[in-house]
Amino acid sequence: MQLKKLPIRSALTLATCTLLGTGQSQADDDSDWNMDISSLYYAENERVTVNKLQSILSRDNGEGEKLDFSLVYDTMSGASPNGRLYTGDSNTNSVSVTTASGFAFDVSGGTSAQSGSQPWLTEFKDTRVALNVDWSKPVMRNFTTHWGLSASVENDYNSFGGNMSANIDMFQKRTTLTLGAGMNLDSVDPNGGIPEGLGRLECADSTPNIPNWIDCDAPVTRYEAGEKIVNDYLIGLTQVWNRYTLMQFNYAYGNITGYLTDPYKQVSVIDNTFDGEIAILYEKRPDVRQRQSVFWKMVRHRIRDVYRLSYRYFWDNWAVRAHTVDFRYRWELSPKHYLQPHLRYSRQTAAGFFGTHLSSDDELPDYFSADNRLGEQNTYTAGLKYGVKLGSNGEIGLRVEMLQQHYLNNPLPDMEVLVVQGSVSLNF
Amino acid sequence: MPKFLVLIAASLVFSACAFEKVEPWDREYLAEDKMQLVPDTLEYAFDEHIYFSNEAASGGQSVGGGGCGCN
Repeated sequence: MQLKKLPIRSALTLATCTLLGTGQSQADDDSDWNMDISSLYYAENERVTVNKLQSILSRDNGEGEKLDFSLVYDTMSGASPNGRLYTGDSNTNSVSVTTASGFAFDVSGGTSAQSGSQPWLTEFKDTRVALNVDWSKPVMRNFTTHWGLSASVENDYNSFGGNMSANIDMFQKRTTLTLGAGMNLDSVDPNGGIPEGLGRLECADSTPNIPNWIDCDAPVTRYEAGEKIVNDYLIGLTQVWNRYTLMQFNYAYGNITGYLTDPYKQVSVIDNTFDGEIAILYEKRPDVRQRQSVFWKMVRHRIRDVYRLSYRYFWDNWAVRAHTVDFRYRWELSPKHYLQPHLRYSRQTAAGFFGTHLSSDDELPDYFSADNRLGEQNTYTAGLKYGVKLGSNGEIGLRVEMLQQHYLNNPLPDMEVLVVQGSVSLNF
Repeated sequence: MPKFLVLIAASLVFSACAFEKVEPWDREYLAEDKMQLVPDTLEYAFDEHIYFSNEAASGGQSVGGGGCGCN
């Protein structure tokens, strides 16, 4: 799926700079080259750990023309919820599982906090390398184009894409209209192949009440790889609101088609009378997703400090609805030092085909997923950044954030995340 | 928490809502780097990745960028 990353440094920055009647080079202190390097440490409580390193090398060719090269290297390891019903530390009738994916997998089921047995988690380890190239060029006095190419490679997932956008300045650059479109071709190719959606992963050894829609004898059908096409469109308006305030309004539409299922996610089938897990299926999602969002952002100068506030309303044809509010306040301690508190709140409803488990009394649905990310949830973020300017040569910064995700109508325990980011920006 | 945030948002919006026709020579505050819509590209990129990996909703600010198998 689409990872929203900036073709940005040029697209949005340029939108601001042209809007304000300043050149891109002026925003970068008249330097020809700029190098941003940042490292991120992301740690969920007893789950996933991610180390991320990204650098952007920018070349300003003058008169608004700019070229960016971005390189990303991620390492990810740990365990994430696989969709099986969370049973805490209590005894449960759980099945033994061996996947063909090659992923390490806890198979003992049942209890055991002592043995560290947590069948609702799947361990994994992966690396990701991504490269983005972005080019911005004014073609007329009030018309700037932006072009971007991206490639991302993981052990089992590849993504290649391109995008373009145009910024059109109006009314003495008080208003900028942005039109953008992007396309990505993604493929997922897990070790062992793609399993048939809602196919049987495993049945319990003793099967008291297996429903007739689970065939415990036939092996699940597997396919070579899954592919999807992501098309995104955006129309936006950036407005100089007054001497101290900028406002941005966006509408975005995305259409994703193809294999949208997560081949690693599973679904527990529970026998209500037996009160235990009698089988495990692979999840299955629809093969079309149409997502839309409206986005509003305000950036306000308070003579010295600056705050930015944004709100996004998201909806899609999977019945997900989400409200997201983000607030950052840049508090200038001195001409060289600043602190920036950050608060974020997001609330989303569940996808129509989401559930924590299937019951053996149910009919087999067309689609079903127990992926907690498609369920109803609230996410809270609080963080603080400290930045030091290095004169006109750049800036260094350190950011620490805490994130908590609370699941509703889902017994999964809350997820807590620590994020630490260090960054250096140099002009030369 | 949500009501508290709504109150903060409303007060901030109303304090800045006066619309003016700003001439180019009156844009000294708006022209500062820290007034860019996205002043820190990498911070923005990292946040997008974090929330894309953990939530069903994404996007809204830009198009393009590489995909990932994280969601």
